Amino acid sequence: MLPYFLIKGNGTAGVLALLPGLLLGAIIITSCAFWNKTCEGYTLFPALTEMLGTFLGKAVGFGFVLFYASFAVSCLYGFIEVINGHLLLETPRMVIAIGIFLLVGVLSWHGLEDIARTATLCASLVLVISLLMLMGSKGVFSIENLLPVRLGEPESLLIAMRQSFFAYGGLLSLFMVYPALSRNAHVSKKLMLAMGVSSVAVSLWIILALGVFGQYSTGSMIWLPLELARMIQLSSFLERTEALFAILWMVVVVANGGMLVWCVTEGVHQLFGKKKNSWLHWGTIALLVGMGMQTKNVLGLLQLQQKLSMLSLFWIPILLLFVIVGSLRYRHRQRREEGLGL
Amino acid sequence: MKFSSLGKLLLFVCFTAAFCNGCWDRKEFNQLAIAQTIAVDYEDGEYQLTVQLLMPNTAEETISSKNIWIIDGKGKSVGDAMENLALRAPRELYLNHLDIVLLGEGLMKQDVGQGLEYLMKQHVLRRRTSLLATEGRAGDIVQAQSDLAEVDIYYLANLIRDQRRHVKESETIINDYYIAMDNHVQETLVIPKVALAGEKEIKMAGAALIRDRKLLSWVDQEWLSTYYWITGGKEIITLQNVGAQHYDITLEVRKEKYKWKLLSEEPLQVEVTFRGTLYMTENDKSAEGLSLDELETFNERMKKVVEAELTSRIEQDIAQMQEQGADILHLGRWLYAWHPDLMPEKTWAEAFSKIKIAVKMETNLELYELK
Repeated sequence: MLPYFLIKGNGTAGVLALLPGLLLGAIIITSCAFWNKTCEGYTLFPALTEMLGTFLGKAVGFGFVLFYASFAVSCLYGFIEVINGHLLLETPRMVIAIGIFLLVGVLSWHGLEDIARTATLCASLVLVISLLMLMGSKGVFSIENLLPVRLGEPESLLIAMRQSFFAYGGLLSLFMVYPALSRNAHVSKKLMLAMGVSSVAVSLWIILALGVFGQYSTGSMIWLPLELARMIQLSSFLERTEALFAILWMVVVVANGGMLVWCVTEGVHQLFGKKKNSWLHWGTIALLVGMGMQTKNVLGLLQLQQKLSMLSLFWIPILLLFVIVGSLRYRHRQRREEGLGL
Repeated sequence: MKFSSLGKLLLFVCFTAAFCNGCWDRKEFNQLAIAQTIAVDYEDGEYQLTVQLLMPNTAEETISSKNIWIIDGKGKSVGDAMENLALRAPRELYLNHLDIVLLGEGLMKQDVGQGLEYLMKQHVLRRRTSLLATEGRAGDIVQAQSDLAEVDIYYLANLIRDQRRHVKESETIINDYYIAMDNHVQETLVIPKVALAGEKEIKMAGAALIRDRKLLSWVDQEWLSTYYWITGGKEIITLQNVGAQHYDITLEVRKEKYKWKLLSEEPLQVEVTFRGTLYMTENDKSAEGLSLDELETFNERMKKVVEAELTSRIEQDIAQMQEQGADILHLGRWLYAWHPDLMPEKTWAEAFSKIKIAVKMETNLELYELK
């Protein structure tokens, strides 16, 4: 849904709204690397209680879990809306939601390695989708549809920047994932590179859509990738190419969703000090399904996204502040203890 | 009883396989009425939809004319008309394979957008779907197809594909409509027209010019032929009685799309350049018996003659477009994209008629046999 918010009211200039998000992403990666170096050997929640004390540490940890939960719900329910609204129109939304969450639940239950390996496989699928999109847009793309590049109303730009901020806020999941990464000194550089590449990829998608549909039409399309998929013509026998695209997209969503849901369930486990409890795990999944079902339709989801993006302007910086300040205090304390020979 | 991991996996696979055929959204092939073409008309305050339905039977290997039904539905809105249609359809209407939308004259005089809006929002149409215009009722064309189905049930779709083979970018799709109508510039869109020719024939016969979502005028096939040449779609052009010696020349064209260039801002003057290589395929045998040097001179002479003739024709056509205020060459789109500050304050259709447009040809001419 990010492209919709970026383009609406801004046209081509909406791509610039990715910049605040990119900056936030860089700050998150740097903070995460700094925190992990300071609190080596700790996962997030034990580190938070160590740095900030039990009560404040758990409160901040709960803040992280809530953020992961809301992010996971908005991502996964976005995909559920696409499926329900365009492909499986008769199937009840609840059935689709349970199916998707069951899948991500099983994947997240098996841990990070399964998710990472699935995501690695997905990379080539994403490339296939992108190539198909390019082929489908051949002949209808025009650079004149992208021009002129003019900023829209300040309110539209503000909404776009907030959405970008929220979208890149998903990188907070790195705080859960980082301790599991190998002690490779160049991880943060690779993460920065990956973020840069994905930002370029998103920008290219948006530019492709604008070049095909024009700035005015694109502003009213919620699911840009789906509309691009509809432009693909694979001979006369396969007309519902968006179905093919949706299958590929589902694989990517399951991998991403699996990681986000893992962050939520792992966070809940760490909050309660438990290790791999199936009641906690599946109970959390059921809560996520219930949370998402409060949005009745696409409009509800859009409104939820708007609210979350407003909240994230404060939510994310506060969480980062606690982590950074906590890490600095912890490092200072460690140095003092080392100095005293303790 | 304890299950091994493999056992659990097998159980899981069997369980999911049971649901692979789908449930709520399953579509049984022999219970569907697949619409291939839809005609949208507007008459006496009512919308009318006419669809050609293919109703496959699983027992048969091929679809023939006996699998085709034509039904229509009327209503105060397109949604009502669709409801009416669905109630009359013998099977579940399946519109996701729609290839072509036929627009009737009544609808085009009313508002084309109103005819398409409901269908677009229901995700029945995709932006790649072809648009065709008809004089009179579009439903009559769909009715006529039932006779033609004895020959080929995909007659209309094949007509479009054949034209596309001979003339590049000759098709108008729904995406073209929305880009032309939704931008800030009052562009004019060309939608190819189909017409009945006799009792059992349909042919492409000119086009409709659409501006501000409404019909501006009809143009004939000869006009359309020149239009396709200008836009770079057409590849063969015949010039008759050309030059002082009244040559009849047929040219095969390898052309780039035309390009605009700003000549001056005040008053607003632009130049359109046509570039390409022309291969002379028929030339009244004027090149026979010439030496290579003489051929070069001959080509140069012919090139000047051809360029003069083509320039004159294009200038005439552009003058006609300006008279009608029909910007079908998308000058407004180009100006708004590259020089937005020069866009006139008055309506574009009015401003377009007053802009000075110079035509420039940059071509090479060669004999086809020496290609």
